[in-house]
Amino acid sequence: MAGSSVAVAAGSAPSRRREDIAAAVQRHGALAVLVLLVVVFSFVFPSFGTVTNLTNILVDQSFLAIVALGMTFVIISGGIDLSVGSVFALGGVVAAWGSQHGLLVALGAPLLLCGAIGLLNGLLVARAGMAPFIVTLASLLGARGLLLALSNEGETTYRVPADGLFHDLGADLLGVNLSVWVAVVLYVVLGVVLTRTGFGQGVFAVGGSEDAASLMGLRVARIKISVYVLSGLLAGLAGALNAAWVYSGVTILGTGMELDAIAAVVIGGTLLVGGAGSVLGTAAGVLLLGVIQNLINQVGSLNSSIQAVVSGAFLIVVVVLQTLLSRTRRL
Amino acid sequence: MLPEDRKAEGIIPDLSVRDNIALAALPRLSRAGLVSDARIDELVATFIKRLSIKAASPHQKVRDLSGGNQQKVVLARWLCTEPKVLLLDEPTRGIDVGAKTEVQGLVADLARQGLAIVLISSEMEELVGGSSRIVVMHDGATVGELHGDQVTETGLTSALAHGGVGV
Amino acid sequence: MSALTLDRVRGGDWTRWLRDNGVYVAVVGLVLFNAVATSNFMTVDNFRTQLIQASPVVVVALGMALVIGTEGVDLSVGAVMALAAALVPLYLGYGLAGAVAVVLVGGLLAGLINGSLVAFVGVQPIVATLALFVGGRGLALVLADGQLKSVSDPTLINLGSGSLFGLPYIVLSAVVVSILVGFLVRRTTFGRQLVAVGGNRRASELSGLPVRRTLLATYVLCSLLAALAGLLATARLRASDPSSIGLLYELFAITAVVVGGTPLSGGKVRVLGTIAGALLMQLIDATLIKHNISDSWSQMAQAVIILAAVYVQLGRRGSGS
Repeated sequence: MAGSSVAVAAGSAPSRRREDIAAAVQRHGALAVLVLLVVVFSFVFPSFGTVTNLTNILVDQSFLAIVALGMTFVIISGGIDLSVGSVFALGGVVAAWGSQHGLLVALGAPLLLCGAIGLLNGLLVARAGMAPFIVTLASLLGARGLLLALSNEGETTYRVPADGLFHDLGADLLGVNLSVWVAVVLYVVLGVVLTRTGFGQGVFAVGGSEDAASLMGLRVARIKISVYVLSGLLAGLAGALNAAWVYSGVTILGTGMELDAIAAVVIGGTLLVGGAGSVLGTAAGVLLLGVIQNLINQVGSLNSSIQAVVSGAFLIVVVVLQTLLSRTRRL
Repeated sequence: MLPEDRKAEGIIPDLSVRDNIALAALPRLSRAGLVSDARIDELVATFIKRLSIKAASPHQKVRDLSGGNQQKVVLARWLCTEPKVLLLDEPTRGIDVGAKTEVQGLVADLARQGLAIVLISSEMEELVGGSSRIVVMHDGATVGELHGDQVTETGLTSALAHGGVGV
Repeated sequence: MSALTLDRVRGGDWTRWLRDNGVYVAVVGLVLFNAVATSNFMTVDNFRTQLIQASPVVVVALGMALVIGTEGVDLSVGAVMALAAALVPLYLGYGLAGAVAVVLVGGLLAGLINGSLVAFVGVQPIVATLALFVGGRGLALVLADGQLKSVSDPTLINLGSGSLFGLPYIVLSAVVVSILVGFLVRRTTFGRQLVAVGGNRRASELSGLPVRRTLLATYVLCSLLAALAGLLATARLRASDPSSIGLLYELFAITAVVVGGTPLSGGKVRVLGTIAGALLMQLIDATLIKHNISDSWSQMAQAVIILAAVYVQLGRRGSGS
């Protein structure tokens, strides 16, 4: 008797358990893989697990991390921002130029400009109803053109004056570059915004279903515009910090960064179709990409192209998993 | 099979009446992958006439037609494939009265001509008027069956009541 | 006819005409502008150059049009072009035919990846093609060892610069592709089914159409055409440059298609419009170059023009629906 009732109870549980497992894998898969890789390869490559190496990874990835944070918001809202690479580079050049005129200009100008680009993206997507990938692809082109215009067709590289405050932004704080701390603070703050504020809930809602969101009374257009502005601002900030770090505004940086950002966000568990995701996941995704790149370097070839191939392959795997897992959830 | 939600699952709104009708039978109407316009036109004209589909021309976009005519287009699409069995899911829902009677008459004609028709409907008169056998289902299980003389409104109502289906 | 259709006729008549034919007007307008404002524009030489440069764009755009017709999109076309460019010098040892075969196989594989993800796994097209968008060019660079390689095979160079009866082989290829795609869309079962799938996938499924097969084939065709375009571009350039061939081509191709009147929501493929759209993109580029507009302003101008053109096509609210 006890046996049969247990059988009945067990009958209804498996499907729900499968759902939970699927959701858990999606949300924390990247973190798990990250930890696994770090632990395993610290033994395989002695030079990998050193504090110096790991800190280098953190610093190298800090700029991508900030960009990817903005991308996370955009993707959760159901959109995509392909212009962040160009905006990042633009931010760097403008910051380097601005640093000749003091800290305020050095930080203010890129934020203003990149935020404006984000605003333009957002307006075109939200109010003109144009497809995000077209809009942001076009602004990728336009931002790059602006970059060339501001740097004399790529000829001029502005140098950050060594005696200015901006220069100090590229210094270390507690052994690690300032940018890492900025990234951490931003992640914490925006993570809270995403999960605990009305705005954050709105972003999820819009990504899940625009129609439902507007029926719920949410200002869909405003939310959409905000996420693109945020993305632009963060990309600009990252670019400025990068310029402070390398002490100049390098014009060729950032090409393809949007792809790394998207890869990091998706690998971190955010659904590309929108409506679900987390800031923590993106952090894990960014670090994971950094670890992989570092490991590839440990093996020998210093090749960013291989990194791109691996990202692409990873992306396919993750995306397939996401689709299959979301199907078990629906059932 | 005629789906319940015509707009979402039935018509291809941007295509013409002609293209919608020819859709399912395309492989049959083509030779080596090449579409034969002549054969399509002929077939489409036949069915437009047979089902009295009211459209300005076969090239009119099907989304501009009334609900009843759209339904006839989807019906014509399937008839083009010369089926032996036709499955209709709420075929007269949301259609104006005139078209409704037309469609019901067409279905009856087809049945008389020997086509086996499975009709899913929630309208009593439609079921009783058109069927030779009714199976009543509730939550996936059969709760009653009516044959021949039993197919009357009273018979159906009692079958529903006995089967525990709220009327 | 219902009152709804009357409204549509009255209000949207000229905007719809503009949307359907605006691209032709733009092309003619731009040609006229150049005839007046640009020296040496109306020469046979120049026309030949313009057509040669436009050909790869036309080929890619036609493939993209097919995909967009199924309500999808293929972001990987530029990367596939780069892959094709990278493969050419590796296999020229087997002669031009060998290289072409390998390039086409590469395109086939790319298309199979994209198509399988969309058709069988059910991934959204943007997402599915994003993977190759991210990794494809990287793969091409790995294959090419990151180098630009000049190509000296005489047959290939002839393909890139030679002509048949005065018509350059490259342009001829684009013309042949155009005719084939036009034929495919209008007169084959596959073409009708493609358009139906884009128009209403559910209804197509329920009507017994081989939806998955159709989608797979569409993405394969698109990648094949992109690979072909990469081959043509390499032949013309006389060099394989995977880091720059096909750069931003996905943007140009999508714009060409949208501007040419094929809606992003699928269900309709306008072959002539797409060709005109591609020509327009080339003309804009050429006009900017011939007037010595610097790279920076040129890129910004292009971005603005693209946004404006797409905006006009979409009408006032979202995709035409």
